[in-house]
Amino acid sequence: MQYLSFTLGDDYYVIPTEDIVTVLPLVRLTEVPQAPNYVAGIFRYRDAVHLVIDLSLLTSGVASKQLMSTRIVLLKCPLDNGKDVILGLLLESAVNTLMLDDEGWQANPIKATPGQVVDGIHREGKHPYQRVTPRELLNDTVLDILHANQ
Amino acid sequence: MPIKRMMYLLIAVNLVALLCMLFAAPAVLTGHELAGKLHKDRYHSYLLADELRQHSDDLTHMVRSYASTGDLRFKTYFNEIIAIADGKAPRPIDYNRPYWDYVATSDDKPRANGSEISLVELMHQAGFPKDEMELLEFSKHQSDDLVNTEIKAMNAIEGLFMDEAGYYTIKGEPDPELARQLLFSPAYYTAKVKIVRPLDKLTEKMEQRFDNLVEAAEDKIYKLETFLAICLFAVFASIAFTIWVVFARVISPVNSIVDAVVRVGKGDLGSKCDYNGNNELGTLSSEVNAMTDSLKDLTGSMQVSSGQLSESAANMAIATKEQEATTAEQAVSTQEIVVSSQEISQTAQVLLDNMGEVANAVDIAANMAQQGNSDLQRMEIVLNNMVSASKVISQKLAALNEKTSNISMVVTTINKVSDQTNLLSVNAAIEADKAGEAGIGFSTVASEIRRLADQTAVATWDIEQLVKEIQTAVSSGVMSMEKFHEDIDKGVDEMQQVSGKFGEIVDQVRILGPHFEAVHEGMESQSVGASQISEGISQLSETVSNLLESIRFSNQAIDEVNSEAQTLQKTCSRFRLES
Repeated sequence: MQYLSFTLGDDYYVIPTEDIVTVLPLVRLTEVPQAPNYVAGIFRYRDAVHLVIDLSLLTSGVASKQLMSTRIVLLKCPLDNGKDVILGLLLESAVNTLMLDDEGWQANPIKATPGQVVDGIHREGKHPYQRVTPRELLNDTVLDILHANQ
Repeated sequence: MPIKRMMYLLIAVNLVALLCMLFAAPAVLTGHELAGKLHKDRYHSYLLADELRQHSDDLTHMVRSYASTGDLRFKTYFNEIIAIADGKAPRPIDYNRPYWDYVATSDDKPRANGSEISLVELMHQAGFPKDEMELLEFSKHQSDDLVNTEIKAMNAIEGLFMDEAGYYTIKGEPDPELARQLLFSPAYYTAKVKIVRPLDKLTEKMEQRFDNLVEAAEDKIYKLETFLAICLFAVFASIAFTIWVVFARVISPVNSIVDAVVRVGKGDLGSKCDYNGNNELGTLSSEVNAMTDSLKDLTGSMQVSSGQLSESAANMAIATKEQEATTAEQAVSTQEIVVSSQEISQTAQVLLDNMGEVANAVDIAANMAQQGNSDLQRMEIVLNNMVSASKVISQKLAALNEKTSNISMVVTTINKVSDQTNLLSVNAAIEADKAGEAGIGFSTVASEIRRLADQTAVATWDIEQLVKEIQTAVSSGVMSMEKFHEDIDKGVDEMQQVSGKFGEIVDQVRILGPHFEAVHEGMESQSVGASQISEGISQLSETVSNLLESIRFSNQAIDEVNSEAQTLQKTCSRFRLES
C-alpha cells in the first residue's frame, strides 16, 4: 500500500495516499478569527474553501517551519453520517511517497485515547513510520468547524 | 558668759546661801530656847505670886482653925508657915502644890523638905523687875500686917494681950470672942483684899510683861525662820540652777560636740557641731567645726589629688606602655634600618660598578639607534608599496563576491524548479495509485521524475554550499585585507614616530655622557655616606635597646605608683564629704 511520508519534529509519519485528494505547495492562508491556534487558516481551491490545520501545532504545540518542503495536503475524511469532508493539513517534509506492507503494521503500544492520531507503527522500512488516519484527527472542535463549512 | 566665771558665781551664791543657813539655824534654836525659858519663867512667876496668896490663905486657914478649935497643932502650923516664908524653916519640895490641907487632915507631910529659902529671896531669884517687886513686897508687907492681927487673935485665945511696948506680956482671961472678932471682922477682909489687890495687879503686869517678851521672842523667831526658809529655798534654787546650767550649758554641748567628733571619727566629714554658745564650749564647737572643715578641705583635695594621681598614674602607665611598644617597634625599625642601610651601602657600591658599564652601554646604544633609524626609513618605503598592492587585492575580492551572488541566484531558481518537479511527481504518484493497475507505469515514471528532482535538489544543495563557502572566504578575505591595510597604515605611522624618537634618543644619549661622570662621583660619596649612616644607625639601635630597658623599669615604677594611688584613693573614699 502507498503512503505519503512527512515529519513531526525528528520523527517520520505516514498517511495512506488513498485518503489524499492532492498535495499543494505552501500558499498564503487566510486567518480565521477566534479559531483555535492550531487552525492555520482557510484557502480556496477549485471553487471550494478548505480549512487547514497545522498538525505540528496540534500535536506538539510547535508551529510548522515555513519551508519549501512544507506543504498543504488535502485529505478526505469520513464522517459518522457516512459523508466525507475535505480537510487541509500543514505537513513538513511531505516530499516522498513509499510502499509499505499491510502485514508490517503493529498496533500503537500506547493505549488508544480520544485525540490520539497514531493508530499503528510499521516494523520495516527506512524509519519506524507511524501511521496517521484522517478520522482520528477530527476532534469535536474541528468537526464543528467542518460542519459549519458543509 | 564663760563657764568658768559662771561656775565661780554659782559656787559663790551657793556658799552665801549655805552660810546664811548656818547662821540662821542656831539663831532659830536659841530663839526657841529663849521662848521656852520665858514660858517657864512666866509659870514660875505665877507660882510665886500664887504661893504668896496661898501663904496668906494658909495663915488665915490655920489661925481661924486655931481660934475655932484651940488646937495648938494649928498654931504650930501657923508658925511653921511663917518660918518657911521667911526662910527660917526648910521649904518642902513643890511647895506651890497643895500641902497644908494634907498636913491639917492627917498631920503627915506629903513631900520631904527642901532647902531653907525665903519667898522674897525666891522672888529676887525669879528676876522680877523692880516695879513688880515693889508690888510683891507691898503685898508681903500687907500680909505681915495681917499676920500681926492674927498673932493678936491667937494670943487673945491664950489670954495674952499686947502691952504698951507692943509685946504680949499682959496676961488675962482668954478671950476667944475677941479672937473671932479680929479674925472675922470686916477689917480682916479689908486687910485680905489689901494683900490680894497688889497680887492681882502684879499678875496683870507680869502677864503684860511676859506677853511682850514672848511676842518679841516669837517675832524674832518668825523672822529668823522666814530668813532660814528663804536661805533654804535659795540653796535649793541655786543648786537646781547650777544643775540646770551644768546640763544645759556643759553636758548637752559636750555631748553634741562629742557626737560630732565621733561622726567625724567615723569618716563623716560633712557633719557639723551645731552648738554655738558664747563660751569655752562654743569656742570648742567652732574650733571642732573649723578643724572638721580643714580636714574636709584636706580630705577633699586629697581625694581629688588621689583621683588625679590615680588617673595620671593610669595614663602614665598607658603612655609608658605605648612608649614601650613604640620604642620596641622603633628598635625593630632601627634594626631593619641597619640592615637596609647596609644593603644601601652595598647596593651603592654595586651601583657604582654598574654605572661604568652603563656609560659604555649608552655609547653602544647611541650607535645602534643611529643604525636603527636608517633601517626604519627603508622599511617605510617597503610598507608603502605593500599598501598599494593590498588595495588591488581588495578590488579583485569585491568583484569575486558579486559573481558568487549571481551564482546563488541561479541556484535558487534551479531549486524552485526541482521542488515543483517533486510536487508534481508526488501528486502523479498519488493519482497513479488511485488509477490502480492502469497507473502502474505512470507511477514508475513519476518515481523516476521524483528521483531526478531529488538529484537536482542534492546537486543544487552542493552548489549552494560551495557558493556559501566562497562567499564566506571572500568576506573574510575582504575583512583581512581591510585589517591588513589598517595595520600597515598604523605601522607606517608608528615607524615615523619611532624614527623621530630614535633621533631624540641619539641626541639625548650624546648629552648623557658628561652627566654620567657627575652621577658617578655622586655615587661614590653616597656609598661613603651610606656606610656612615649604617654605623650611626647601629649605635642608635643600641641606644634604643637601652631606652626600652629604662622604659620597662619606669613602667614597673608607674605600676607601683598606680597601685599606691588606688590604695590612697580607697583610703580617702572612706571620708564622706557631704552628709
